Amino acid sequence: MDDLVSDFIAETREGLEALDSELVRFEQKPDDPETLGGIFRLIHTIKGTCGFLGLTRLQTVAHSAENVLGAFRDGILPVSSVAVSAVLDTVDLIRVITDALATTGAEPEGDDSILIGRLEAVLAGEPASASEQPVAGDPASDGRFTDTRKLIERLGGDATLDAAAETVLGMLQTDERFGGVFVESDIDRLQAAIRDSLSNLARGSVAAVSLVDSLSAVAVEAPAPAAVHLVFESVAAALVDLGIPQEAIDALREQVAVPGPVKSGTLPDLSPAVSEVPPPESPRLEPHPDQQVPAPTLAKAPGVSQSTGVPSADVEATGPAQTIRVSVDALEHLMTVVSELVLIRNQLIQTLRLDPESAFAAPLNRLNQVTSELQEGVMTTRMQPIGGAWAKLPRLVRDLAQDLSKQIELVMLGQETELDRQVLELIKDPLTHMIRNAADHGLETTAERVAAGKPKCGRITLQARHEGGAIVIEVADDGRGLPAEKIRAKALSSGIITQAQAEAMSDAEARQLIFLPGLSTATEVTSVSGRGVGMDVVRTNIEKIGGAIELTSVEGGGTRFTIRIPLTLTIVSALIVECCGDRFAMPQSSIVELVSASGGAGRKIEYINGAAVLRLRDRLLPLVSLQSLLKLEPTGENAGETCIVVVKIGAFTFGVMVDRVFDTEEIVVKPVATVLRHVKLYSGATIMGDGSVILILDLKSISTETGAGQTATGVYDEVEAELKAKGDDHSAILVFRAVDDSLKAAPLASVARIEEVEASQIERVDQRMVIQYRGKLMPILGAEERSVSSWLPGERRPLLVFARDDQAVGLLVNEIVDVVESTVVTDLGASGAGVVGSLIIAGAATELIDVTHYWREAMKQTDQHSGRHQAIDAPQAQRPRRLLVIDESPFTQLLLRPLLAQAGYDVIVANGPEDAMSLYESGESFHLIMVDTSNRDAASRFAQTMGQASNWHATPLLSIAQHKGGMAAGSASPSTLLDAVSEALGEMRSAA
Amino acid sequence: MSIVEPAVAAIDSTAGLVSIRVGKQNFGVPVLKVQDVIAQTPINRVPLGPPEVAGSLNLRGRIVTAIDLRCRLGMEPRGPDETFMSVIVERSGELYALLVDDVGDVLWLSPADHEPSPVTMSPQWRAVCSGLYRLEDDLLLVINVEQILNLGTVSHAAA
Repeated sequence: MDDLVSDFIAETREGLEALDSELVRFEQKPDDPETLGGIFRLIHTIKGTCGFLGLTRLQTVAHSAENVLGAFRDGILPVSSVAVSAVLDTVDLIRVITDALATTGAEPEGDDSILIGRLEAVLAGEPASASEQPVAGDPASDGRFTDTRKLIERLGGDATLDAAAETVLGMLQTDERFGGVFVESDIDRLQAAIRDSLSNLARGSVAAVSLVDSLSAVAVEAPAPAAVHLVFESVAAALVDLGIPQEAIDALREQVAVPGPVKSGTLPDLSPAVSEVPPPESPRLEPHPDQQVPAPTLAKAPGVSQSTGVPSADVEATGPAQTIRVSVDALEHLMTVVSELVLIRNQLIQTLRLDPESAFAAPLNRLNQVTSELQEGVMTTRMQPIGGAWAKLPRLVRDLAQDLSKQIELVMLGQETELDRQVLELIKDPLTHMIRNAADHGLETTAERVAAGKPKCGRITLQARHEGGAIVIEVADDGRGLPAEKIRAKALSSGIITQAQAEAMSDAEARQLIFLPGLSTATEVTSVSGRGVGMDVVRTNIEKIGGAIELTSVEGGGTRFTIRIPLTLTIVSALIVECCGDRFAMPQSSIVELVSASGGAGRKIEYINGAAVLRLRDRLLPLVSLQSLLKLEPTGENAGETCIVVVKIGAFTFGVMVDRVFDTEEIVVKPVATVLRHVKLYSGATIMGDGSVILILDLKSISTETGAGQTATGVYDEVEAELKAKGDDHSAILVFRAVDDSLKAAPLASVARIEEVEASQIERVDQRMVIQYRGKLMPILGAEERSVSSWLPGERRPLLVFARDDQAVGLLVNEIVDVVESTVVTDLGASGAGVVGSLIIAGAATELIDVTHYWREAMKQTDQHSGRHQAIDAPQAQRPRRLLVIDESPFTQLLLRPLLAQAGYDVIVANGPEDAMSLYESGESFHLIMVDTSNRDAASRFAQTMGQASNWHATPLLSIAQHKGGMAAGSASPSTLLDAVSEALGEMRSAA
Repeated sequence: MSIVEPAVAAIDSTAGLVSIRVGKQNFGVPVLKVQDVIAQTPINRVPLGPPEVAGSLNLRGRIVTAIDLRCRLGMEPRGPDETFMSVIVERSGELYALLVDDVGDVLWLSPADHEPSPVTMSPQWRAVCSGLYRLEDDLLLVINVEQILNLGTVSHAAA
């Protein structure tokens, strides 16, 4: 393709992007001369260039739009919504044609007559005001106006003057006769100065500035009168070439008043020009009559606005001169070279350390500084204000508002926030999507808003700011908020979650479901959105660039998305680790902490059936061996993987075992070679200070690779994640061999820690077995004297620790066998002491222990022998209070039952109202009935049941739905529930 | 610059081959494909990479993937004491280093001496060579750079 054409395409696209936001601003503020001037210039440039390149279709379309815009600018035509829409459509058409031009190299065929017709209709819409305006504007010069109006017509209008001005530009800058005063000038401004000056003079406008003044404004120094004369004569010659009659040119020459000194009547000074603008012009600007400066006048003469100190026209005009277009490749190359320079610098500094007295010390330090500066400088060239990614949004919102018949205001804050251009490209689409969502789903219709007592106009706020080495972007709307109940129902009906999960879920959690694939809250599919592809894609895209997205929403109050993304993808902060003699980089953003497992610090790596785990505070951390993952051969020196990097990916936390950990460094990320792309474990490579190449580990892939990331078994302490990842009745079960060598199992969630003890640690205190544990005595079960004495000296056996609050009980076992995912077959009727059910593991029936039972046993011992733990004794001192829990979900089995039992209550679980009924029929009575009423179906069946159970009518009821939700989400503590229980029981006592 | 060295002028400048030795066999790499020849340099291995990939190295700030031609051509691996050199080639914007045992002169050969690869050559070699040149006392196999960098990506991608 012709270089000129490709330049034109690039320029036009840039211009069009800017145009979108300007036009919308223009519609809101039709009397802003700067905006109008900017739009006019853009369209004009497009038209001009098209003519030059022979792109007739584009030229015709742009010309029509320019006419309309020119009429706006001159105040002949009031700005109307219809007119703006027509211009916007033109802009769209120009874009389409430009795109086609870019792909095919030629203008596509097409008929634009309808659009041009619309534009012409708009232009013809206000014919009356055209003649009225100048009269109103300058009544004194009425006659003169009519005359000069003719002159401008005879001269072929602004377009001809512009063309003539353009013709002389080259000469102005090169011809020595001008004394070089225009050499430095921006040619666009120079052209505009000549055109506008001549045009205004030809019209006899009050704002007219003499040619010499206009030229002086754009030249380095005022040109000599002879030079001004020469300029005019050159233009005149060009006008002759353009077929303008000589008499018209002569008339213009009279107005211009060259040669010779400048005629004083042409308002050389600016301020009188402004003050002389008569007020009658303002009624034309009906939408905003309060505006002080009559816009069209200023817009006519850029030279004027410049010298008044209105900056924008000036800035816009000089803008292009201060930047240059550089290809991205060139920047990338520069970046590479600078990286290399940094490496060399590092090597030199290294040698300096060995020989501090070196004669090179001073220059090296200087080199050091300069290199850092250079590196920083090159980095900033890649940074772009985020406003660039937002440029299309005002237009988008405007169109959406029209499509959806809503009133929407888009507020953009922090446009100047800079971030890497690569990141910028990648967030463009997600942001557009979110704005679209906010407009369509987020904001209510105008009628709904009014009904809800909100302002008619919905507001979408887009804000960007720097925060701790990252960019935070917020997209907020003041709309209806996310309806948690609706999302929950939708997710349930589309099978994304199960009934039990839905019930256990808090509203905030339910809202997070919108990030899952296939969920849209829109009840109907509109042209804008609602097709169920959405926030999951947004989240994926944002996570792809190492970002995170959060959401908060208030029903009826609006929704806020907070996106946090790294400033740049090219440079990341990474932890350098070593494994088997090779170094690797791990992105710092996913790293939670570093743990040493050398054994000295009391922590060591343990193996459950070959799977490595680490006890970290209150939980077991699954471990991944980098050595086995990457199939590295261990080197002799570093035999043990003793450092553990704790990584958190999404809700999954795991540890990566490495040999050594070095520093955190800022590394330059480079892509991995194509031949290595299939190795998913690397996200890139980087060059270290010593020149060696190391690989950057993709922690997300590692979590998936190990299989650990697929289920949430690693985070057994996060019930929320468990409920999400698993089916109804699947849970993580710890299988162990009890002291009697039988296979037993306990819900992993109930095991706080696994310790190892020696026989010598177990002490006998007053008939009971205890060990010293964390500065306290912990009762131990399963430690009969006989069995303990049979241990070999130094033999250590596992001890399961069950804990609640600051209380802990140990259960001694022979061996930890495995952690499995299994279905619990509860067998309540046949439950022996300490057994709540059974499950099949590897073909063998395994008893699921009743943790509560053991807890109670241990506490009973404590109770009997020392009389401590009053709080727990209280219910037991009397006959234990009997609680009936009616609930179908596994939550009760896993959490509620042990919890209540630990508190000393006698808990009977009924698996639904029918179960409860049979208990009633067998004559059972209870102190408290707890029921989950969040499931409407179950609740109504329960109500029926209770209606029949007349003997139970005096028994207090407690709804546990809220507690369950809270506890599952980790937001409510078990003690709240216990408080509620004792409160309910207290009421009963006082009533009795 | 009217004086042109006749010897050079007579030969098609695109036919130059950088002669390299891999194991006992001499090969030629088209001179226009070669960006650089560097002496032995530290190479950082890439775990889980294809066996032909010896690792990555740093060439003036760019990361270069090293392909061991001995492995690529199915030869005995290089002993720890044996030295090697790297011939740097580029493919679609990425740099690769072909690890060879030795690098010799650039040879300007006459097209008359070019022959297609003999059918008896192993398919593995025929896939990466585009014919050979008959030298006076040796045969020089021409390496097809595109092909030699094509590490059976299909099978890897499927894995």
